[in-house]
Parts: sequence; C-alpha cells; structure tokens
Amino acid sequence: MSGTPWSILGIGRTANAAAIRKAYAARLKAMDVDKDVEGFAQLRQARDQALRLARNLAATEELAQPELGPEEEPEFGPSPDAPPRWTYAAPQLSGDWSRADLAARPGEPDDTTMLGRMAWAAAAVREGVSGAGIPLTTIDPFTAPLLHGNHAADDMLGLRPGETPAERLAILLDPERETASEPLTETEARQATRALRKILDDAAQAQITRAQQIEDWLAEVLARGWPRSAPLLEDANAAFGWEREWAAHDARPGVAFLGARLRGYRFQQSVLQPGHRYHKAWNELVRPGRASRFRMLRGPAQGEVDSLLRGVRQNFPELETHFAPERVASWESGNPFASGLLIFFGVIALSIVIALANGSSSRGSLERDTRQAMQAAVPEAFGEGHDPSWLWDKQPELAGLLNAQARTLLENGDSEAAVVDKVVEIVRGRSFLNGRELAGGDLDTAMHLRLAQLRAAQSRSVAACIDVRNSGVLHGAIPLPEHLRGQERAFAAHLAETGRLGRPKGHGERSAMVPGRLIDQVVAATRLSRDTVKQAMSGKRDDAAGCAVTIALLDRTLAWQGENRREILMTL
Amino acid sequence: MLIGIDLGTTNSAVAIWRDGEAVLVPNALGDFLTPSAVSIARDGQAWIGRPALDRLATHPQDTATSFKRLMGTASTTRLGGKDYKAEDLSALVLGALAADVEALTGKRPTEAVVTVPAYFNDRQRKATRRAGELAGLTVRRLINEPTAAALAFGLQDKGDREPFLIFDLGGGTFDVSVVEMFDGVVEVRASAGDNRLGGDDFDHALAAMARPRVDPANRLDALPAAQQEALLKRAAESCRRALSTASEAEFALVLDEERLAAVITEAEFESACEPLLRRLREPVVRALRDCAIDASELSEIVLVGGTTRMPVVRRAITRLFGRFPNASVHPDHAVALGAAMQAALVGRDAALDEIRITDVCPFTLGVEVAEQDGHGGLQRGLFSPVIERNTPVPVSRMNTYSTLGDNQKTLEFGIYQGEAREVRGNVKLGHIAIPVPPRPAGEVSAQVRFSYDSSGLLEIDVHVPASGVECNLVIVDEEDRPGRKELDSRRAALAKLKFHPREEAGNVAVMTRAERCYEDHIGDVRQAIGHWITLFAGALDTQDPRRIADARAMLVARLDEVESVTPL
Repeated sequence: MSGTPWSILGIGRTANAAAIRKAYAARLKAMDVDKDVEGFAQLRQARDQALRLARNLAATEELAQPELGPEEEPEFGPSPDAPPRWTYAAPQLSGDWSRADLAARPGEPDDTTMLGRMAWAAAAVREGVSGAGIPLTTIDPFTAPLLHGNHAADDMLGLRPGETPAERLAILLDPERETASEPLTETEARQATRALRKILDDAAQAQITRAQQIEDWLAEVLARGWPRSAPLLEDANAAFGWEREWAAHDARPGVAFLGARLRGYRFQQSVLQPGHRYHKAWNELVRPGRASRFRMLRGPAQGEVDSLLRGVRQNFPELETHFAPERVASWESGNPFASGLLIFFGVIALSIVIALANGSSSRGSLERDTRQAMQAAVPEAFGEGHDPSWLWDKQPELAGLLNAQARTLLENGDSEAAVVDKVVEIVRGRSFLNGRELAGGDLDTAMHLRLAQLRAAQSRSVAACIDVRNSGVLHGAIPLPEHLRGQERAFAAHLAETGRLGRPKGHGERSAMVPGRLIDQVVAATRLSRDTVKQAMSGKRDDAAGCAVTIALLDRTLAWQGENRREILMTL
Repeated sequence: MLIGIDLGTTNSAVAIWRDGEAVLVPNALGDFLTPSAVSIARDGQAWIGRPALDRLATHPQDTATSFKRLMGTASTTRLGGKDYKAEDLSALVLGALAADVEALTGKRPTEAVVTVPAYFNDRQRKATRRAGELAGLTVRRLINEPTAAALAFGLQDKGDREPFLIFDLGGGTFDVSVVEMFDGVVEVRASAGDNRLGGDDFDHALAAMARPRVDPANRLDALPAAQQEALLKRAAESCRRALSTASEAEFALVLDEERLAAVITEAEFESACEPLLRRLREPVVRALRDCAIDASELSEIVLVGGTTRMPVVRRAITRLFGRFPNASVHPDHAVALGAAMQAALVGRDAALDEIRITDVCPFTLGVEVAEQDGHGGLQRGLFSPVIERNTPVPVSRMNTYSTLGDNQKTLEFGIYQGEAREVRGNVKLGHIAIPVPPRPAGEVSAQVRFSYDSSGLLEIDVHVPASGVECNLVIVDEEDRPGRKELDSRRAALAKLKFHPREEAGNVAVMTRAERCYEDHIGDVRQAIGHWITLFAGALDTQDPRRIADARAMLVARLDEVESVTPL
C-alpha cells in the first residue's frame, strides 16, 4: 500500500495524536506483521509522519485555513520537534557554578572583596584534593595541578568575579582569540584543566539530560578549540567514554573528530619516545631542508619512512604538517644518488639503442598521430558521421583545444585510447556546463544525462559520485551504458551544430529554495532523516548521503512541475 | 499449554496463564524463585536450585552458578568429572521448572516462551533455544526481558501509557527499554544494554575492596581458584544484602576453621561501586537518543531485577533521572509473569486478543565492505549497516553493493552484527558468496536484502540484476549444524544424571543447608551443627516418614536460630 500517511492510516487529516495512534492500533491488529513485512514498515512510517504533521499542524494552526492538498506542508524551516544536536550556548549551570551559592556558604567572606576571592580560590584547591577522582592522564607536565603546599595565593582557577568555569574554559579555547594559533601557556593550561575537572565532576553527578547537554557542549568547545584543546582531550575522553564511540559506525561527528585528533595526539606523543618503531623516521622527516644524498649510510631506511608516511597520511593526516615539506618530497622522489649509480650504465646502453631506433622520429609523425587520434575521437564524442573537419567548421575554438590536448597527450607517450577518453571527457563537461545555462528541452536533456552520470558514478563508489557532483566532470574510466552514450553524443552534436558548445562562462555561487513537497519526496526516496537531507542540500555532506540526496533531488526535480524547478536544476 | 520462563543469571522462575491472568508456579520447596545453580557429584547425582547454591559452600568445584554469562560461547564447566556447556546447565534448570509446572497442573509442558536479555546477540539467543530443546521444551518464542517486564507492568490496568523506561538490572545483565502503550499496542521504541553488568559485578567489586582487609596475609591464595571464588562470592553476596538494610555490614568468611571478618560501611561500598554505577548511564543515553525521546518526557522509570533493590543503585537511578523510580512491579517476578502473558498471546488466548506487541532489533546488522580511500588505496574490513539498530521488527531492508575490481568473479559478503565501524569489532553471523559476470569494476552490482522476523531469525537474499542470479542464506549458528544427533546424545547424557525425587526435595534442601552452615561457622557452633546433621542423617536412614518429618522440623528450627544471630 502506498499513498499519503492519512490514506494508509485510514483517517482524515487531523492534529489529534490520540486519533492517529488509535488508527494505527486498529490497522496493526488487523494485519499479520510477519506475513506483510513491507506493509508493517509502511504503516509505521505513515504513523510517524502523521504524528509529525500533526505536531506541525497544532503548532501553526493551519486547520483554520482553506483545505490544502494532501501532501502540503509549511515551507522548509527548522522542525520544532528535532532536538538540537549542538547546544551552542553554554548550558545554564547552577549550584556550584553561580557565585551566589558560594557566597551562601557559611563562614565565607563576602565575595566582592579581594579577600573573598582568595578564600574562594583556596576552597577550590581544597576541593580539588577531595573531589571525584578523575585520573590525570595528560602527558603534558604543565597541567598537573599543584595540590600541595601554600599556593593558595596563586589564583589557581583564575576566575574573575561572576565567571563560571565553563565560561573560563570557553574563553581559553575560543578560536577567535588572538592567541588561538598558539598552544596554551602554563597558567592557561592549568586553569583549563581545573575548569574542565569541575565541569566533568558536575556532569558525573548531574541528571541525564543535563549531563548530555554538558557533554555535547564540551565536545563542541573542545572541537572548535582544537588544537589548543589537545591536553584536555584525555580527561574528557576518560570521563565520557568517547573512546567507545569512536569505533562505532554511527559516532557523532564532533566525537569522531575529537577521537581522530586524540589518536593523532597520542601517536605523536608515543612516536617521540626513543623506543618507538618510527622514532628515527619521524625525527628525520621533521628536520627542515632536503634529505642528504648519503642518507642510505645512516638514518632510517626508505621502507620505514614510506610506511610512516603512508600510515600518517591514512590515519592522522593533520600530523603531516609537522613534517618539513622539502624533506618529505626528497624522500618520496627516491634517492637520486643510489638510483643514479644503478641506472647510469643502463641509461647509456639504452639511449644508444633508442637513438638508433628513433632516428627518424620527427615532428611530422607527431602531427600524423594527432590527426589519427582526432579522427577516432570526434565520432566517439559526437556520434557516427561527424569528423574533425565538421567540428573545425562549427566550433573552431573547441576543435583547437581538443587538438592541442591530443598532441600533448601523445607527446607524453599516452595511447590513442587515452586521447579518446580525454576528448569525450572534455566534450561531456562542456555539454553539461553549457546545457545547464539553457532553457526548456535542452536543459532537461542536459540534466537527464547528468543524472545518468551521477548514478553510474554512484554504482562505482561514493567518492566517484561526489567527485562528479563537485567537479561536474565524469571521467572516461567510468563506463556508461551504450544507449546513454548515444544520447550524450546526440546532445553534444546538437549543441555543436548550433554553436553553443563554446567555453563555458563562469558564474558565482548559486542557491535555490527547495519547496517542502520536494523535500518530502527526496526524504521518501532516500529514506534518510530529514535533517540529513537538509544538510546534504546545503552542500554540507560529502558522503554516501550527500550523493544519494543529490541524485534523488535531481531525479525528483526533473519530474517536478512546480516553482523553482529551473533554479534548482541550475544548482545541481 | 505454553509456559513462560524467566531464565535469569541468579534466579529463574516459571509462570503460566490461568483463568485470564499470569500466575507464578512454586517449586518443590514452595518458592517462586529457583536459583540458577547446578551441582553435580562424581557419581552423577545432581542438585538444582537452592540445594545447589548451598553446595557452593561445601563442594565449590562441582557447583556452577551464573552460567548464563557463558551462553553462546564454547566454554565448558567441569562438574563431577565431566564437562558441561552453559546450555546444558541451563537445560537442567529449565527441566526442573517444567517439572514444577507438571506438579502443579498434572501435565508436563512441551512448549515454552523463554526470556533473554534484550541485548543478547544471535549466538546467545540460539543457545537459549537449544537449552530449551535439551530440556524437552520447544521454545516457541524468545521474548526480551524488558519487554516482558513492560507487559507485566503495562497490563496491570490496561490503560494507555506515555513512554516509560524499563530499567532491568539483574544478576548478570543490564537492559534498558523505552516502551509505549496505547490502545492495546505495546510498542518498544528502543532497547540498549550491557551484557556484563549485573549484581555479580557488584559482588566482585565488593570482594575486591574487602579482600585485602579481610585477608591481609593472602592466605586465600593457598586454596584452589574455584573455592576462593566461591568463598568470596558468598561473603560478598550476604554482605551486600545486609547493606541494603543497614548502614554497615560484615564481610566474613571461614578459612581453615578460622573466621576472618571486616566491617564495610555503606559509603565505602558506594565508592567501590562507583565505576559500575557510572556504566549504568551509557545504555540509558543510547536508548533515549535512538528513539529521540528526552528523559523528561518519560512517564515512569520502572525497576526490574533484584539488583535494583540496592539503595546504592536506587540513589544512582534517582540522580540519573532527577526523580524517584517506580517500584510497583515485583522486581523478581515481573519478567516471568510477562513471559506467561506473551505465551498466552502466542497461544492466542482470547483474553489477550486485543493486545499486540512490537519489538525492535537491538543490534545493527550489516555486511563487510571495502572502500576506496582518498589516497587510491583500498580499506578493507569496514562495516556497512543494512538494518540499523532499534528498527521495528519484523523488518526487511535492501542495500546495493558493487564490485571493486575488474572482472571480479564473486561478491563475498560477511554478515555481521554490532556497532563498530570495522567488522573485527562486531560479531560474525555468517557468510554468503554470489558469482558475478565479469565486467569492469563498479559495473556489476548486487542487491542484498536482510529480513529479520519477530522471532529473531535473519534471512539474507542476494540478487545480481546483471545476471539474474539469486542466492539465499538463513543464519544458522555453527552449533546448530551438528544437528539432531549431537543434540540427542547430549540430551541422553543429561538424562543419565540422577535427580532427587520430588518428595525428597525438602529433605535434600535441609541437608545441604545444614552442611553449608557447618562450613560457615567455627568452634562450638560448628560442632553442634555437625552433631545435628548426624542426627538427621540417622532419621533419614530409618525411612520412617514421621520420624523424618520431626527430625527435619527440629533441624530447621535450630538452623534458623544459628543463622539469625549475626555476630558482629
């Protein structure tokens, strides 16, 4: 069964949640879920959707307005029921945080005086000793709080009057700060750790909703404050158990980000220890300047350096900034000295042979090869019956460009097949970019082709799909079915005939409003959450979801007859 | 007649549906709860339930408890010179419960609904089914423990309920379920849990803290491991129980005729348990997040499981939710009663005609894939979910996957269950391979459909459109493969054990209890107990029922007196 949620439930449009549930219950009892698995899934989905619509209806009181279509919904806007993933503002912390409470403690002097501030700082030190034992795991020695001795005079936490530890932490890790690009100083690190400890203590004792808020907020602050927040990650991780979440397939993005950074941080700390496998390789790569020619004699082996580079690039990409670029480049290009010796004699021998064999090689043969390649490539790109002379006639600029490309490729030793692929690629790209600027049937054809290309790329891999989406070009290596190739050729030829295959004009960032109904269709087609779909539409997702959403949106928009169709198509 | 069985880590119970309501069935000793303990002597004599638990004191090497933790694994326990798997021991307990039902109703039950923790994986569930079969019971349905408790709680007054949370902390497992009830529909919104968190872990924590205080010279190390563990476990359990009603209690054990004891305060106990209490948080967070319900929207927090009686745990729960939990269902009985209700539903009892239960799949199910990473390399061993966790069940979902290499001959799918991003962190359920026509990489795709039904059976269908080939796999545990013969031989081995006749149960229980008391005491009291045991044994030898009954009553009274005095 398919249709609107209301038709599946068998009731009229209503804002009454109880009625929706009743209808669902009735339908559920009437079916055997094990026999009709699909029907059960649809019924459940219909109920959830209906409840959501009912909530919106109740919120906007649209029942008073004239009867809308069965799938109408208020325009795309933040849904009132979705809990925010990130709380950008610090949660309202109470209790120990607010100064009023501290002042209320018996025996404490008034907190507006200097004396009050010192005494309160002393209290912070005392509490630190007996507070909940969160283990000190940071390696940086400067964050170890000095718990003994009379350091009360030194304002440990450094809080100004009326400031809470959360605010202090946020200020210290603020990315807008001038010192944001430098690591925390000694005092700052100490303050940050103490503030973090207090926050973690509060979270451990707090009620679950507040604990969640604190955790989300902390993850946000630490992520935004990276890399300054590096020494604090271990403590936070130990308290919240983020380490378990990193390994999950559905880890929250903030936690996953921090997890990756923490792993990198840990690796960096351990590789600096002399016993580490890659210690020598690391020390070698961080030294500035080119690698010495005699590095074979002492220092790390090429293999070690290679695997360190590969491991770092794959797992901890941000650590590569520690390496000196010239040194990395010189290691990657191999050791000219050693290889030079080996190849030296070989080259001498070979060059004689080559010189003899290619004695007759001249510019003339290159021209001939280029001509031959173009003869093969043009029909491949535009269809049978089209040849280079036709192209020179209709689109001389493009013909010239293709010719030059072909010659360069052949000069570099590429095969004719590679030339053909390249030509097809360029023509395809041009057809798309130009076709998108047109109107009517031509625009539709261009976008249909684009949809087919995206689908082909998607079945290859998600990365290919994203690549096509972002760059607008489908590489020749990804094959398309034959009938689509025919359509492509016909379209390209059509554009060339009418001289519209010129150099595509640049345009700025484009955006369009997507109507709610269309979003619904995309949500139904991809079966992703609404939030994910919206994120993907704002271009924020470069993964399987983004790919699926782009394809679904393009597909639905082509079938769409409502407003904004052209604008939307022009952004895809 | 279908019966409902709660097969717990520490205690088990059985209930039946009678005259429109669920009622618990007492065992031969008159208790509703039968401890999940089995003791087997060299000669094949077996004790099950409370007598076995008492024998933990006298014959720890031949007694097994908390074997639910080993379900689904291949590990065996050696009792009385033979090896037994966890499912064999569970089968013995199930058999005893079935016998109790027979004694009450006159008919031996052949079908049952058995409960499992919501977080039990596929292997553990299949092991539970096998245990039923070994006991001669067809397990018609496995029901999740929190769902059963929700049934018992929710059907108390058959009204509509806003979402409530079942907090089930038993002897060995912890489960959380968010359940909603309306119009006769019991809907589980999300489930989460921890298979390694229960009363036993609190005992371990207490024992770990108390041991250096009670035995500073480490004399316990001289004993074999089974005995050490048994001593510490029993001391910890009684200490923990005492701490439920007093602010301090004694942790005491008897070693070499000497009584070693230390006083534990409630505060010390709480700090020893702190890491465990912290672990309670995570499954709750996960369940609430998965169903997108905030803790403030929950109408009740319902406590199930004996461990929720502990004041430490209650305080932690109150702190966690910011309100007092609901303790209106009997924490030890709710699950068995709920299982009986589910049994009645499966048996289509008219009284429950208007009730429907929909549960969720607690784990994510998916396949192993490889992806091309940004550096042109291939990353293998990644997990691609097909059915996300907490999807309503039954469910059928399909994903499409394509080849990665040119002219690839087969597409191989490893089937996994779990949450980790890499498959090595998940449980492997099976493997299916399908031949594909040779094409360039990425041109051939396969549609993989996962179908998970209400009884937890997973079926996989793979279809390659390019060639029309289809492949099907039903997930069957490797253990099931040996099949009927192996099962029959194991059942025969279990049947060979000698069980006490039902009439004797009372005498057996008193004897084991007396022997345990003997172990627990020293000096004069111990001598006296020994003397009483001899007297009772003599009475048993006469085979005169009257004399036996009198001797038993006297022994019981004396043991009660001895045990009621708590030396401090």
